[in-house]
Amino acid sequence: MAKQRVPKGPSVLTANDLLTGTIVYWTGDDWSASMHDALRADDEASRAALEAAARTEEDANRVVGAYLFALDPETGAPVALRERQRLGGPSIILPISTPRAA
Amino acid sequence: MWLLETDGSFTRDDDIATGLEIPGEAPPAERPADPVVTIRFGGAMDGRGFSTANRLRAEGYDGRLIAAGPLMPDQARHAFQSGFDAVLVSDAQVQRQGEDAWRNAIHRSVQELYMPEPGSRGPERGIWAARHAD
Amino acid sequence: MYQYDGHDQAFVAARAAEFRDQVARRLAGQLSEDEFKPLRLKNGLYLQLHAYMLRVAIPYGVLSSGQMRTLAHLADNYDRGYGHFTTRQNIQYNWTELKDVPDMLDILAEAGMHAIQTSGNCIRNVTTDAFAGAAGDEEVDPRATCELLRQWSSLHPEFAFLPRKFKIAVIGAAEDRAAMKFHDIGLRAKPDVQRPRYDIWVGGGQGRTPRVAQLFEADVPFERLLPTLDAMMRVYNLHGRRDNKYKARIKILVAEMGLDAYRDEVYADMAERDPAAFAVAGKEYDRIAAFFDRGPVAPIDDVPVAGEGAFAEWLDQNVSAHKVPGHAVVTISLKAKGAIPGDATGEEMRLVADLADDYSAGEIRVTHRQNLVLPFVPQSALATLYGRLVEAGLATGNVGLTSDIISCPGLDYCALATARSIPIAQALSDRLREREAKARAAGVTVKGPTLNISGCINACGHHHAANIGILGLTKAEEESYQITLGGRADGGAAVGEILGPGFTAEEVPDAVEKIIEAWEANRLEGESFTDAYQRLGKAVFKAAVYEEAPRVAA
Repeated sequence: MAKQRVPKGPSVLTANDLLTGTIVYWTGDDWSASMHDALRADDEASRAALEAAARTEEDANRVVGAYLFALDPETGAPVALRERQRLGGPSIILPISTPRAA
Repeated sequence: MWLLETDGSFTRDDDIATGLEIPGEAPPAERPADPVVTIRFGGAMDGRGFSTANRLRAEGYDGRLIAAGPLMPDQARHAFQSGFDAVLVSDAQVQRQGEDAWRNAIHRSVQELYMPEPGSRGPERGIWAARHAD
Repeated sequence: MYQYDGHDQAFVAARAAEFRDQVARRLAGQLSEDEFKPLRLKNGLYLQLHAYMLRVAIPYGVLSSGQMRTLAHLADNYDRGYGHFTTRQNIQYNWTELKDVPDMLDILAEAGMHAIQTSGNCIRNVTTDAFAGAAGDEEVDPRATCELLRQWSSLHPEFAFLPRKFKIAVIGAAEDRAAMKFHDIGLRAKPDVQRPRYDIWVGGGQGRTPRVAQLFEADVPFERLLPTLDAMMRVYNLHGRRDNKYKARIKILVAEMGLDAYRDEVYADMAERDPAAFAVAGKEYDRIAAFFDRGPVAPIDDVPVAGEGAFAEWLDQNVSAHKVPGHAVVTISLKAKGAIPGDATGEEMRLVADLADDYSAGEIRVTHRQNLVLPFVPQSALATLYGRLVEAGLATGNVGLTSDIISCPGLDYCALATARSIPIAQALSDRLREREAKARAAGVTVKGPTLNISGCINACGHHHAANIGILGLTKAEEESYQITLGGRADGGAAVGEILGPGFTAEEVPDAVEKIIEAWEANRLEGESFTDAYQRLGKAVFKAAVYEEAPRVAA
């Protein structure tokens, strides 16, 4: 994984689950599929702790490509377009296994 | 250090003759006269060492070729099929990647290719040759 | 089509078993992610934004009906009921789990399929003309060469850790329907006494630095084909740049070394070698070619087929001339109004498999424009076939029209993307289908500019090679779309030019419509988009898009 820079402002730790590939967020002691459960780091020390957790969790072969991303200090939403898309899932209506309308 | 041979034997030895060591980045300008040549790979993703070995074989080098560097067990067959006689593995690699993985590297990877590389030390005979044996 | 023998079967089964072991060692921590990543990529497994994505090879785009049913089975049981046909004639599953992939590979191996080298820095799945073996203008069936190259390159020991990915395309007709000159190596097979001879092109590619390939050597006899490719690969492996992934493709090596110097290195490498090592390739070629020479259909009487309304449009756009009398090549558009280009549900895959069994000798093709082809349809069955496609919602008659859009998955799925592609394609499809319907109702023959969309500079959506190309980028954490004009993927391959400043997603349909209107207003009788663009220059289109008064006298 490309190593991303540690953000300056409030941030959370994310990764993909090694076994399933699912997007997960770090809660402080485990991973959750929901960003609502994520542990938010507001100062440098807590961001460093998240960084350390990222390495530990990767080394334990639980997750892949762990990194911190920045949140908007006011709204708490991810700043980056990529993170907004990751959070929202595909923005399109997924095809389903039924025939298209004639 | 450990050494994996083309017959699959995998043994630890503190005193392995590695002969002339050259980088995998480029084939040497002149064919080495040394009976043993070790080609060191710069990284697991750097496949130049395979072509360097293949080129040495094409030029007629028939001494012992050893592959060294941060290779994976999965790359052992690539090494043998490119003309190497052995792969040199560090103790640290064996500890992390597993002695078992190295010991079984040949049996667990695909052995029979369609066309063997000229100079291959690998186990393959070649599917094309088998199909057109008569 | 080519049938696996016991050797092929054992080969793909062994590869599936090898991958199962690699996954087990990854989960046990014996392989780090940095080590496992190249191994999984060489087996088509990516980690995308939301999940693992498995890309399954459809070698040179040829599938049997049984294989299509296997793909449907995987879509329904290991994904969310659908798959995505790609611009490299493969299929990818967007929602797989690492733990399931070994089982998926076993199922594929049973059906004579695999995911070998659909990604990674190695020789990728060889692509070709989707009309191979059926096209009226074909001189040599390229599929035998493709299969030979598939076998030669599969799990190649020396060329598996190249500086970067390596794509080969083969064509056997004057018209290039495979964008051959946009490949690392492109081969044009020509008839010769016993086996084909080849024009070898090198250094084409898209991505960040689009290049049209240059002629390496013309009329290479078959006996020298593999020895030459072997040496070309070796020189690239040894000399290609490894310090910068954006400069690592062979197109950059050839540009930096110069074609002549590259060629000298290749010939010097060949001079040291005994080509007899490759002698068995001739017999193998003949064995493979025999599968394709036994054409699955015999000539029958030509039947005139005509229709009205949507059926007439479908006949005009989706049905092509066949080299066997009494037959036609039918393209099934995966570009219905508002559809996701290239996506098909398991249900649709099974239906296409049934149609192939009923009307096309059990054979299906995947095109690089992300459609499906039934290559051997009797003309007498066209009306019935059309009726069944209408029932399934797969009867859109827009092949070759602008609404036949190529699109990569973009930021809805892809970890590398910088913007979404699919919603742009859907919005354009809605707009363009309406225009096309109006034009058709007015009796205008529409043969639109091609329109391709990529969600990042890697150009999987082939935007450089489109008459109208759209590239999605991230600007200040918002999506921005750049438009390029004048690209071509055919024999006159050319890279498109950037029109001007980018657009928001909402602005793109209007901008594209203004470009098409400017072409229609200014074109000479029967003039194609690219010819008009070359004659008129960028300024006319720029004015049409960025200024209010769009019209210039023709």
